[in-house]
Amino acid sequence: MKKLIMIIVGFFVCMVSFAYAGSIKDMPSAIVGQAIGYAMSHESFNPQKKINVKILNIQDKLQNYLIDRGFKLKSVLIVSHEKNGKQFNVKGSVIHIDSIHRFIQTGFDARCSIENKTTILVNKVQLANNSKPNTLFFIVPAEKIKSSDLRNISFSQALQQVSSVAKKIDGSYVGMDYRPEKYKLIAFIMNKIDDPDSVYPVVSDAPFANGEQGSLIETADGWHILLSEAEFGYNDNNPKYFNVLWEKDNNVLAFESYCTQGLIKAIQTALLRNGYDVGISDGKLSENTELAVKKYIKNTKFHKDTQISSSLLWFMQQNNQINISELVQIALLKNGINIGSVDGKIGPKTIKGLKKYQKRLDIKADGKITPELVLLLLQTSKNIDVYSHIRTLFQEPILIKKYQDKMWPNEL
Amino acid sequence: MNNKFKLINSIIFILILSGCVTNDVKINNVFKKPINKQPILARNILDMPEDAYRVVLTISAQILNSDKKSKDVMLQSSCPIILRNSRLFSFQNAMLMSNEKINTDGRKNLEADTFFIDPLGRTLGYSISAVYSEDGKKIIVHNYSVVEKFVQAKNTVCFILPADEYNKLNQHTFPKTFYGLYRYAAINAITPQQASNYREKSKWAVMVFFLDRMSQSAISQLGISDKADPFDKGYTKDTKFIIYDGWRIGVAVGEFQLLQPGSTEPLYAKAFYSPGKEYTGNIFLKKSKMVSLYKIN
Repeated sequence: MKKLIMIIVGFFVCMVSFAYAGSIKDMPSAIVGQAIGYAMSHESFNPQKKINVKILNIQDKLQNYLIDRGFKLKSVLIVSHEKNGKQFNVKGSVIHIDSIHRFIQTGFDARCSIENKTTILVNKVQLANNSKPNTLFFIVPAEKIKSSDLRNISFSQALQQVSSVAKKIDGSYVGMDYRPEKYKLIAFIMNKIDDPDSVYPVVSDAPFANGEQGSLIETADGWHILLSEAEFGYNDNNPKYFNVLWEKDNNVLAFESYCTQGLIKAIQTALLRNGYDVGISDGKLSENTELAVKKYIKNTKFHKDTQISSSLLWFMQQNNQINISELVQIALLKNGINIGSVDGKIGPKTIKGLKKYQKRLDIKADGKITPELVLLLLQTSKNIDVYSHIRTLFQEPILIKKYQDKMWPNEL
Repeated sequence: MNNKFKLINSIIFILILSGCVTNDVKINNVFKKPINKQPILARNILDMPEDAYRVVLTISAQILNSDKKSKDVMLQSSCPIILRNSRLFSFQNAMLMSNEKINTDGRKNLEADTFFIDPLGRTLGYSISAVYSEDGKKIIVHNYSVVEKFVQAKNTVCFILPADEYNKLNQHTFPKTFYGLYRYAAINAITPQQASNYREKSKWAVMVFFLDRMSQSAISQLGISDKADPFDKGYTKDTKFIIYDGWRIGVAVGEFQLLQPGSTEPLYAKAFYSPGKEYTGNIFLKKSKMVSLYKIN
């Protein structure tokens, strides 16, 4: 009898193991993350596996968290998870992105339980927004933009306005006078951060260093722009650095540092890789470099008025097989503008399409194919991720002080 | 007696059977435990075969959320883990555990560990498991999983600061990040050279920062002892640990005289570590090990 009982107990243990393992198999943390992410962005969630994720009592809280309906779930990141029987905790973050590639990263800590083989209950979720600032940088002649203007318009309008005037001087352009001028250094914070007041720009003579502090502007829709003013001449021997500093828990971290001189050097490197003769690659806009830039602009079929800019650099850094005409036509089609067939030739239909697109964005409708316009086209096209490439400008963070002299030696 | 023996045997058999069945079920990789004991094919990423090198580097870039990705490596799924504070960390090294063909259509399996480091020297690692195939110059990674890999903690940094400075911190001012506390300790710490200026006994806070990320179940200890002996833990009762996302800081506050030239009464701060549940090796080797020894007097 005892033997029978023990066999039954053993069999029960065995079955429990089966059932338990089966439910774990169908319980990926990523599905919980996705469910939270979709709930926040008002999107419907249809998991591939037939798993029902019920989020208890907090649906309203999640939906109120992302007020702007323009943001869609981009990715779910699972950082850690702990399980204790049928209960499990998932920590991670969800990233929502909008049409101009602003993003909101939200950390979550979810307490979940397995209801049955196909149902997961999310009993409690805590959310936290703790992203570091990510910026997009422009240099604009001081007189072209008033900081008060930026306060009264939306972030996307400000981005368009600044990028449209920045193109003429971003870096330096062919035939420019390099005497010092007053510029506004503007960085758009592309993500939602916890405490915007902790972020500030400085202009300094060294990268990642402290310096003369600029200001933080809040746009009409509650996003933020960093702005500094400086007087400098491109390519002289005194480059300025626009450093984005972040005060976080008594630390001052420099996450991004942009140099006013580095662009020419980068342009020279990219041109060299594409087989153009730039003379000496010294960061100075020499005659050879100017000539190489003009040749590149002509060969890639950008408009002849195209000037040196970080947007132009972006195209140079792509492979040299890039066909701008074809790219523009495809991007116009992806933006819903009919230009007939994609033949790689810029004819009247394509120019008409470009003007239509420019009018839509409320920018000067001249139909000129410039790097800035093509980038805008790509950014607003569906399924083309441009920003991931542009963000190569970001630097590794540097802790300003390391205090190594205060460390005690390890005797081991 | 004989029946009892049979009974016990049956129970053991059934329990073993149930255990085997559980192990055979492919659980989701998110919950898979890292395996400690595996042969290492390459100890440095530069020693890896070209294809493994490219796959490991691309997945490492994904973990870091970095743009430095190889254009010729296509990942067919997004990374299940992206390092929190990924902007702080950079790639340190990777080790290749296995890399072999798994079927006739050229698909290969890869198991590797990849490690990251931040400017303070904090480290953490991940185990990568990937199935990929080569198509000319391109590599297609069909699926991959990433789980955290905890390594033997070995790197620590010690700061000694006046106890008053440490005690000043309250629930409102206590730094919320490892960086914050590190900076606070570093600013208020005295250098080993300054120690001999303090000739009287006074209250000090010894802060030992563990730079390697530990699992929740790992055990860390900070002891104050008059012996350098690694088996003597010394006084550990009043030390406390602060944990920031897996990185630990041990704090011992006490009254003593700091490092003096020619001192005949040595005093040491010692940091100990033993791995947690992630350790699946020999249970007898899973003992607490001294990872640092600081002579404070």
